[in-house]
Amino acid sequence: MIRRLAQALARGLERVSATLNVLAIGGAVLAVLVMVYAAGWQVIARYLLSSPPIWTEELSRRAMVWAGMLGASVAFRAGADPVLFPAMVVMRGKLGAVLATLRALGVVIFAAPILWYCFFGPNMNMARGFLGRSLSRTAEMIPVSMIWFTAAVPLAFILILIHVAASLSLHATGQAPARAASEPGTPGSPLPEPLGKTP
Amino acid sequence: QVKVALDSPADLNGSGTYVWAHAFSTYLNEHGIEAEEYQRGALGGDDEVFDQVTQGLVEVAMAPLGITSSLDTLINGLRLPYFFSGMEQIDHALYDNGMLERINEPLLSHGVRVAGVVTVGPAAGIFNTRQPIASMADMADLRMRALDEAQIELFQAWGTTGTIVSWAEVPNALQTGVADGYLNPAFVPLLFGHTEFLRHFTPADILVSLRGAIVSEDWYSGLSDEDRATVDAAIEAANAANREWLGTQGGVIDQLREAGVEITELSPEARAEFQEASAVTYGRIVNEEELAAWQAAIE
Amino acid sequence: MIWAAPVLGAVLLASGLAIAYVIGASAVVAFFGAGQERYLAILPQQIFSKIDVFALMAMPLFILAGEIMNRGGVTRVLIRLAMALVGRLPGGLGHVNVMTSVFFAGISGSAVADSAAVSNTLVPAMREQGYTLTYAGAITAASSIIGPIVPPSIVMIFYGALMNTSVTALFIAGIVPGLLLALALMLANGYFAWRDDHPRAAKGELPPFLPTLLRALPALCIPGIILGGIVFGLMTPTEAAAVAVVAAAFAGMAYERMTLMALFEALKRTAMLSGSIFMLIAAVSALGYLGALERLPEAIADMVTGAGLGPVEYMLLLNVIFLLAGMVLDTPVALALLVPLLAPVALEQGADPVHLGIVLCFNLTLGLLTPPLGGCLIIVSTVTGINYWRLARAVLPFLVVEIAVLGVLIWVPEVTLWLPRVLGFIGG
Ligand code: NA
Ligand code: NA
Repeated sequence: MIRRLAQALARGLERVSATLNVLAIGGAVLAVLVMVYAAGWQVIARYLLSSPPIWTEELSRRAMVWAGMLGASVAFRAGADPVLFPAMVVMRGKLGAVLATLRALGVVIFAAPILWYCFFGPNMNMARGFLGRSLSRTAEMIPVSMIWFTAAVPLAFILILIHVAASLSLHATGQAPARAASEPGTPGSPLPEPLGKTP
Repeated sequence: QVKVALDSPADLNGSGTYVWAHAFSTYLNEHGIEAEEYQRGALGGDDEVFDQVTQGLVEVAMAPLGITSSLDTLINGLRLPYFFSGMEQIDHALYDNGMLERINEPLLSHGVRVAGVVTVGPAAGIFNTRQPIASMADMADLRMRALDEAQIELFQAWGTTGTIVSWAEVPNALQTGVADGYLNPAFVPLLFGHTEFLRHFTPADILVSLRGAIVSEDWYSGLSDEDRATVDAAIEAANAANREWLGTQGGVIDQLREAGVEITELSPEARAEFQEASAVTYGRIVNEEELAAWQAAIE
Repeated sequence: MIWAAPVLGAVLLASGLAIAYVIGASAVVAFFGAGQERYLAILPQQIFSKIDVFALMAMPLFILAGEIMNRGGVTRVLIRLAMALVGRLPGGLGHVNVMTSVFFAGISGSAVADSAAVSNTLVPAMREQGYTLTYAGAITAASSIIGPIVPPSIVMIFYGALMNTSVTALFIAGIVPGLLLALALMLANGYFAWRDDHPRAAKGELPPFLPTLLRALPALCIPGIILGGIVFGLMTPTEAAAVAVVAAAFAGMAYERMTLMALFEALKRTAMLSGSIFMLIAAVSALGYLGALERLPEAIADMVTGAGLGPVEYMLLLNVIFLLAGMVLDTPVALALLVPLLAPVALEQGADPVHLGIVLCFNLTLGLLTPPLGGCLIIVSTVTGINYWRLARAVLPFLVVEIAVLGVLIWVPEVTLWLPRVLGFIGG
């Protein structure tokens, strides 16, 4: 009974993780498009308009931060990051659960201080945490608060922690899929799609 | 131990900010407070170092003047073109008329304090790759590299155009014509090896180039009275060393000439023309209230 | 206490955790071990500012251009052009393989994309003509590293961002070394063709030259736009990358009618690949900050002077370290970990920043061909089914040739610096 409940909870968490991942993919794709648009517009404007716009460089750069941070969370869930021992990731059963716990521990050790200092500054003062400080600063050329751009950092790590929790709970309840979500055999950088048949 | 983050090579002849930082840390070390200099870039770029100062992780840093202006814009008054007659007038406004205190008022709650204003050399002029500039009209067909929006507007006010190029790409931009020139103090092209392609310089005395010496307010306000007195004395010694160094920087124009840069002086009429056109941009650099405060402070 | 960091790192690595997170977690533990945990407060700002970097902007865009090309049939058109050009020579398809990589290099910034695309298309064709599968795979892997040497180059963009070196100058400096590398590989292929009597294509088997060239023109325009735009100073590398994306999309539509779905996939993979690299940058920047706090760079500089290493000796040592690192580390990992630590000393000793950049980037891309972790070897063996270690052995002769080219680049800086100097992108 308890086992069934735990399994259902784990599946629920996995659905949350999957849904958030879809949103992150959408956001990342949008951010890449904004990059292309801003950088492309800069070329056109420099040669066609008398006064080139001043915001294109910054917009393109900030969009890259969003694309990259959201993309990092997507890559994490897909298992597309470079790994030295990919065989460990596809391990299942007891040993698989132990390894998954170790991996989760590593992610938490890295993410915890980042998230803590995103929210809290000296003396646990939230106004002086990373986000609080960004809130009171203005961007360079785009007249908005820096928090619109810096928020990408904590958001990505929160997403990653949710993905870790989902994956770990699947392992713990013996429901981890037989194969990892990642493409097989690509511990280097992700592999582009095949080109199709021989010419 | 006090960390002092540098923003330039450790060069006591060429770098005004290093003169300040070194005088400051030397004074502290001689008076019983341990201070250590960190090379430029070691603790991160300007933004990162500023952020570390606001959190009390780095005690003292040499930083661009405008870095605090994302918190409060009063300090931008020091970047008004053709506003101050020179360093003496700037010091007069800051210290005799209380502008430094007013600049710091809104900053302290963010954990940062401007301890001093540091000059990096004689006033900035106009460099370009193409032609001598003796008047505003000579600039009409140039595309000048701009640092920020305010500079773009300054160039527009001068009847020319600006384009924003990041510093790392400036040499390429100048060589390939993406930009034709820039505004900088005379020593800059010498320091960065740009004299090979920047063939013309007009000492237009646009403004005194300044950097800021910022300190962590958490650290400063947490000092004992005795230690704070020592730090204040170190700041004073550093300011004095920096102003004295400025007096030794007269030979830069000759060095430019030796490097093959043609120097074009402005006639008083031409200078007045630049001055007048520049005033149009004041409203975009500071707000009305801030401008009034600075005007009152230079009286 | 500081020993806890490498121990944890080893355990996490063995658990199959991605390298970026291993480095990140070890860095956090190292802060505690060094008694500097108060400075963990820099992490969020450090991560943000190391990613929010002008020089990095061309990277996602060039990745995207390559992704779109791969999906748009551009590669196949380039292969046919290479066949029409050099297919008749002895060892024809081997030359075609190298030549395709040169064309591909002018558009794509990564060796991995090249090795995947070519193993999928040209390797089967080579096999049909009577080459051994192993030889076909080996020359594919070996020539794929022309990709990041001829501009555009993701490795160089990364290097430029880390070392504050002009990406434009690096790009232009990579042209001659890239062509030299191609020439060396073609000579090696010619030698093997003679020794092992490799087939050459019969006249009727080759695509007709003129129609093939015409069909390839849109694809060839892309490197033209990128290089021309950068060399003539019309665009920054970032802008050129954006234009390349648009051009690749048009070329893709002209050749294969790219679907919206394919475009979406390309955008998604771009974000993921950039994200992987950014996470690595984030983790390494934490470690780098601790190093600066503990004055590690100064200690290394002192060690180098203390050991009495001159500029030449240090440059050689640096290359040996990087070759060894390339064997076990992924290119961006090795780059992010070692370059900020070791390269500044070489600069202080008077090395030219652009020359140093090309040498180190060239060196690190060789790591894609060296086991145990050779990125291109893994991909070629995955796609073609050749045994990984057999492939590694077959690549070895080519690797020797490439290390010889690296030697030339180290000893004769002019090979690298001549073109950017003539075009006015570096002084002297
Ligand atoms: Na390339
Ligand atoms: Na190839």
